[in-house]
Amino acid sequence: MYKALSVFILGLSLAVSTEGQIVHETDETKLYAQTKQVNQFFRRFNGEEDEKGDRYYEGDKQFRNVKLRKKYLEILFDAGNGGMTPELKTEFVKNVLDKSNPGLLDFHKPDWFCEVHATFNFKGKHIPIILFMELEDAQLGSKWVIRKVNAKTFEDGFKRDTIHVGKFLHPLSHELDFMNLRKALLNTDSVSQFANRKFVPDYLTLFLYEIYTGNLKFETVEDLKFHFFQISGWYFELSQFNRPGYNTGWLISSLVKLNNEADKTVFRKYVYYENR
Amino acid sequence: MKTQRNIGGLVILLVALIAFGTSGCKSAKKGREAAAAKARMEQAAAEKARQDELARQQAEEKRLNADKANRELEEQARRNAASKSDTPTSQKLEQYFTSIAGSSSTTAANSSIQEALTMFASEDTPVLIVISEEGGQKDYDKPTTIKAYLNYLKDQRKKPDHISNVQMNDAGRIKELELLKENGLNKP
Amino acid sequence: MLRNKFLLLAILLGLFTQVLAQEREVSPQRKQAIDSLAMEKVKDLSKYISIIGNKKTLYAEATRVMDRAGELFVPDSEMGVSSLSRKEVNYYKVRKYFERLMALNYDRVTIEWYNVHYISDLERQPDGRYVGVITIYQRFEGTSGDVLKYKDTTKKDITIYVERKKTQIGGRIVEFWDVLLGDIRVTETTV
Repeated sequence: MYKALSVFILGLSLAVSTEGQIVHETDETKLYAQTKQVNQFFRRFNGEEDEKGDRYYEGDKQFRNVKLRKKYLEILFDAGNGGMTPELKTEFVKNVLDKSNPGLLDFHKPDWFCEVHATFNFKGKHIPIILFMELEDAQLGSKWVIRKVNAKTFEDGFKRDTIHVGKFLHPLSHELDFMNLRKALLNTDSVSQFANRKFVPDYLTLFLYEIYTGNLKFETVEDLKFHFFQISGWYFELSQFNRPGYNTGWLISSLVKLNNEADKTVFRKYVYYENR
Repeated sequence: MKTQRNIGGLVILLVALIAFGTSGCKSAKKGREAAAAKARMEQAAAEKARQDELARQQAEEKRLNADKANRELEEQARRNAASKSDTPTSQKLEQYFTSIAGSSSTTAANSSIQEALTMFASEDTPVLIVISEEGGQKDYDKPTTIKAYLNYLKDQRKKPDHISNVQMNDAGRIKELELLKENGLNKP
Repeated sequence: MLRNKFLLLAILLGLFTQVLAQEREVSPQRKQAIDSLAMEKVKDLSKYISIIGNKKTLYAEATRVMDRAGELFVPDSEMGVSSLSRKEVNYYKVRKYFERLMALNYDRVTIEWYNVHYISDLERQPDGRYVGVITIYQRFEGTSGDVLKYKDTTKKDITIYVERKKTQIGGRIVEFWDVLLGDIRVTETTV
């Protein structure tokens, strides 16, 4: 299916070699088929470029053409993911191509963000940290910023037992000028039990502070994927596939139907690892 | 008797005065009219002379402007002729470009570079490369110098950009060079 | 009266947004010329790398070419390299990458291009500069004598920075497009 589709993607004659270029015919059809950048995923999803990657602009006949979009959407899913049933994908495509209200992606609008899996060095130990990044308007343009951080190492420092009674500062501690704080804070393993009930740690603050102190140093990015909530009633995940064949590059790796705003809120928390 | 004679004389004198006076007025009036007419004629003549002079000056100015415009056109045509790519200077320069880009060795290329540089006011002579042009508005790549451009040709060994404009100084050396990028978007 | 004020505010806001949206983008015609210029810089870099990696290139000449290649980049640019066997990314300053290339023990380095590339849209940074990414695919072969010692196929995502600048030439102001390369992500790929 993908080889046949790549014929559509090509639709052009391959160049002869010039100045040291070598044409590997089969290889090049695969490279043309590949969704090479996230930018290209946006353009193909919206039907805003041709098979060679040249942009269509408003006013061009093929700009956001429904047939063009349909063909592109057929090749933008990870074919190896059985969790996305053909029926689910068909329903999604139908929604997206709705003539009265087409689903389009906008680079500059909210409701899409990146999950970056990175490795850091924390006081001599290699630890994984997840950074949630989003685009933000700034001065004359835009930039990526860190929205949230998830790190098991940090989480361990805020564990507290909410069932058993455990240690506490008794209700008349104030009469002794809170002298029992000294003993309470000696045991560093369970300090968070002295925070109020509603306390929720903000790991981004901790992350930035540890970088500031020099305790935490960046090593490398292991992997990244994108989360999209821009299509009304739907969520999808975008991941990169570096493998042989035609179904490669940036592809939809997960697709979930969201029935209402409550679903969207819950699922967003899940994506942020907040209720796992 | 004497009184009557005096009165009579006075009357005669009076009549005479009146007669002479009237005729004098008439003459004066005629004289004044004549003077006025003469003044008007002189005024008219002066005005005409002024207008003639103005017309003469305007005609002279027009002639001078026409001469100046013609001279400018001739100068521009001369400059255009000098800057066209088919002039001997441009052709010679193009040959150097081709030779440098296609040199068999670094030594040969460096030798061609040194020769080519003698055509220029200095090795820092600016080179402007047009990447596109639309509606008279030119878009340029970052300006470089002729020495840097020639070395670029030597390193990259690719087809040189098209020579579109050559400006010469009084000593017959190139003081500024404009090239048109070979990118399929520009028509030489 | 209040309603009219709101209406006026809404109109002004709409106009402002429109102007802002237009200022975000370079016109299609200009984009095409800039894309072409950027691709040329990428090809120039590739040629310089071939010269640097060629054992026949004399040290002084290789150093000179490294300087020329370095001028294609904004300061502090880095190469981030990973392979199929090792996902971990190794980071090198561009100059260091060239020096490592020069130190490779191959008689000849051949870099071949696939006839496929992709150029992203230009996006505006907070400082007003435009940024884009060019993706190319290359086949690298290192030979010693007639023996092929190493080969790989890589996808290269190359950052490009585009800025409108002015300079004075011959007593007049000349505006130009300054196109420079930035960080490059190199990923081994299976084709």
